[in-house]
Amino acid sequence: MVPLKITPAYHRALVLAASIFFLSSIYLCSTRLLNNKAMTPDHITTPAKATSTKPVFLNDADLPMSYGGYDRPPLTGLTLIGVIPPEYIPTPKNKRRLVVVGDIHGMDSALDALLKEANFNEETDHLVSVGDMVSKGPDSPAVVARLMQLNASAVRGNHEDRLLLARSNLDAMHGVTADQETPHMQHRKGKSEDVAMARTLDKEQLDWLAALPVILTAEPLPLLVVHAGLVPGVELGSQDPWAVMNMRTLAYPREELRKKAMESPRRRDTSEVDGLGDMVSGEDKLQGEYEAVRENADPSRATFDRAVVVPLETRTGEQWTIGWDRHQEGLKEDQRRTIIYGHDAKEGFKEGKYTLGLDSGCVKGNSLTAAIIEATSNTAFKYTTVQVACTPP
Amino acid sequence: MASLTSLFTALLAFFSVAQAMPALATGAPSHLEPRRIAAQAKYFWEPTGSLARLHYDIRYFKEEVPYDEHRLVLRDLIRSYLGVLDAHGAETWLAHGTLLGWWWNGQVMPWDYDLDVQVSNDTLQWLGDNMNRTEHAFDGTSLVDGAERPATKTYLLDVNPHHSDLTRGDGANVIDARWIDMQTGLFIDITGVREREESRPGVWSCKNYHRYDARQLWPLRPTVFEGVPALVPYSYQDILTDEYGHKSIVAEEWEHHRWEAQTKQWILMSQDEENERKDQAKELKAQDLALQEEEQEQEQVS
Repeated sequence: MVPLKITPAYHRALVLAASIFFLSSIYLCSTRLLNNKAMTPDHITTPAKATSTKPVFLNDADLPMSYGGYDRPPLTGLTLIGVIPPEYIPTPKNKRRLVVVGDIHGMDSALDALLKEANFNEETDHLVSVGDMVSKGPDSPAVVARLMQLNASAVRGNHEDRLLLARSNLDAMHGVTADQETPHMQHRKGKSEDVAMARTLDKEQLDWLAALPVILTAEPLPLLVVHAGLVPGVELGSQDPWAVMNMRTLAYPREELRKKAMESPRRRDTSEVDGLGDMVSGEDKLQGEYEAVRENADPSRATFDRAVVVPLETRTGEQWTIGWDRHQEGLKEDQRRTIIYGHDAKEGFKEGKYTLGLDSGCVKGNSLTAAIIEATSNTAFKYTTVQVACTPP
Repeated sequence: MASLTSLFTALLAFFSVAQAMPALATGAPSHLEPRRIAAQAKYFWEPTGSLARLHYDIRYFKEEVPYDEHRLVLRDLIRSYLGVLDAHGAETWLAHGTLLGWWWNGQVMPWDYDLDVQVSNDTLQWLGDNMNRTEHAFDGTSLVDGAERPATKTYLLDVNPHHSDLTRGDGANVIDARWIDMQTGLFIDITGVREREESRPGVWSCKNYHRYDARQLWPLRPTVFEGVPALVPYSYQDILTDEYGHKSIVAEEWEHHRWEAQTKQWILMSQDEENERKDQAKELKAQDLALQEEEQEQEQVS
């Protein structure tokens, strides 16, 4: 073994190397670290620069998630999607009109007045209801009779849904539950009003209501009719009927979980944006296309934490119409759909870019509103509105 | 610091003793001993030794049912139960994890140890008065040498004598009744809901204080579960998210299973697969973070 001998020359070299190391450390520290905005007090909450060596921690907000990817068995006796018969769809040629009316709630005289106000003509016009035709108001059977007589289209609202379920529960009842069923029991189960309402309608009327779909399409017009709302980004066949009849706002579960984990929002994950992931790795000519789509893309979808949406009945989330409008902007023009809905008397008559809310609170003594749809081309429409004042029951 | 540590140790010791106490007091349960010794004697007993074992009725437990068979056993359990209750016209609906399984694909979730259904207290009373301790034969399916074969199975409806207690008590009898697979000891927990608190009319709850507005439950919705007619609560989504959070209806990874979008099934993952998916997710997150950093820097430059 050769003993290590530190000659003066070796010593000088060592000191030089140490000095260079020391000085470059000071230089790098002051230029890199101190100039890093993340380290300055103003940005103290933003995370330090992510490098490949920095450990990444996963939390619940990073889990794979979907809403609408389920395969739930259908609800018995409920039709999800229906169509407005093609012969009633307005075109520039046939000059027909769709008269879409908000929540009627048994207010037959108001409906009568509204039809007069709209110069409703059975020959050229087709009446469409956004649901909640029955309950609360004075004359639900007359409203249903009038809609049937006019051969109207309609969607199932939450009030029709409850009433029809209460009735089908009664029909299916046998054995023990039938023995135990009393008006008192119905009251305790919150079903009294629905059962009473079902009794005022005849079988034909109940059957007509029961056949109504939850979503109405108006192909080839880019128009949908529902009672409460739709979840953006979920195809029609996967929309949850309970949500379509009851929703008011949207929640973003990943955002909630991210907050809980005390992390700042995770913004982009291109793989989550439909089709964009493939384009990123594509050829150069695709790259341009990708940029174009990205500019247009719905910012909520491109944001990892907002990619998964859950509908809520409560008002605790973001208004669903805002989310819907934003989502449409990111779609190609021929895929955008305008939704006409009711349900939310508190928000009242409300025009969004791709949404139109018609529940102006007639049964509360406000007004009954209809949108009159006319075609501007075979695949586009315009609308005007008419309103009549309602006398509270 | 030292006092904190000693306090912590003391607390630990106290809890371990407190946990052991009831076992010391009542001893091991046995078929032969009368069960209703005290007002709060636990009625349903389960074997111990693992988390899974807590989901077997001790009287019929032989061994833990292997993963492949588990689903068949639970499927026959719920099919037989729903069939028998409907034959008597007794109203019952899916609850808790069983309802969540319906939400995803109308099937029992493969990691669920047991099943949960609810009935109103009137139905529960009727079951107790008329069908308690009845046995029911059912044409089901068994796994014989890895192949599904028809098999006749027997089930026991057992109603807890404490079913009509108003309060939770010490928690030993929160399950009001059980539908038990006499072959394996696996069971359905049946809990009764009623208007339990005088100050809250119209609010129905079980002994474990899961509360529901009457109009969240009724009118019940007819649908299908595991291929047979079943009822679910009116506001099924609200009930699920109230209990399990928004995460429960969107997260696609639970208990070593992943949701497969093509087949709409929960698939058991190997440890390797699970690790691989975690690494991938980490890498994606690192990429996102790096992208965000870049953007932030660019913003600051401009």
